[in-house]
Amino acid sequence: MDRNDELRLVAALRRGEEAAFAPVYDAFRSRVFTFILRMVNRRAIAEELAQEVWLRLAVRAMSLREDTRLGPWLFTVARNLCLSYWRTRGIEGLHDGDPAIVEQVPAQGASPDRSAESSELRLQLDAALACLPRPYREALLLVGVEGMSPATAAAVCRLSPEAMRKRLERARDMLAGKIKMTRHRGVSRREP
Amino acid sequence: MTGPEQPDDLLLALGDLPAQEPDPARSRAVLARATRTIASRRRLAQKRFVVTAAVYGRLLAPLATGGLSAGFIAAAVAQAVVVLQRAHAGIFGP
Repeated sequence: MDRNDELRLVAALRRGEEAAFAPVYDAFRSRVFTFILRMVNRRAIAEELAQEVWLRLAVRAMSLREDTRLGPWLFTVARNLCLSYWRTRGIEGLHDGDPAIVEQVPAQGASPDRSAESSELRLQLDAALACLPRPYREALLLVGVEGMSPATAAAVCRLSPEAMRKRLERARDMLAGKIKMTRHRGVSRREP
Repeated sequence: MTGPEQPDDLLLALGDLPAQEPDPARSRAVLARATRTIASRRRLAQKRFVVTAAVYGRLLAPLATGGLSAGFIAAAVAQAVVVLQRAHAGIFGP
């Protein structure tokens, strides 16, 4: 979705045109859901929270600013809902980041001819991401997976760009460390 | 350290992680509910506009013609006080 389309859709949403909702939903549905799923690591919870994100957009559609960027808006709401979920359950640091609770959901649309090596790397990345502490995980999800600029991700996380840059740097190192550890464990297991 | 465990390579590899789709039936239900919500909010906003226009019309028409009675002014001031108190309570409330 280019910026002109986005502005057109925002203008239509501000006028309360329900027809403008479907294109926004189609464009961001799986991205928002995947982000939440990787944040909370539970599919049922992710379904609930994603639904709440879209209903909030529907309720606030007419009060959006005319220059609203839908991606950052949706991811900010999604992130805040994830934080609220953890806060109300008091589970951050308890179950959060425990790889045992990560539900490995098979990727839809994955073609069978993809190399085993890249599939293995994806699995390792997913597992390593799930083990990272929440602030580092969300930074990597927004910048690495969603392709946001660090400045935009900083705005979503309510951080200064400098703080986001440092967080990203640390997150990348932590992820690399986890992957390396996983591979090392894999090699040790294969050796007699 | 070689291969994809280099931090920069990993950041690139993250972009290739596959997206997940929500449950299709639930997805359709969310879309339907959201569009209904937007439509109902629009109708509500239109009603509010009509009511506001009517109220302003009743207030502004006498103002323009200079035909405001003392009772009308007193009622308008009293109403404004109530509205301001409520707004204040809404903003700074408990």
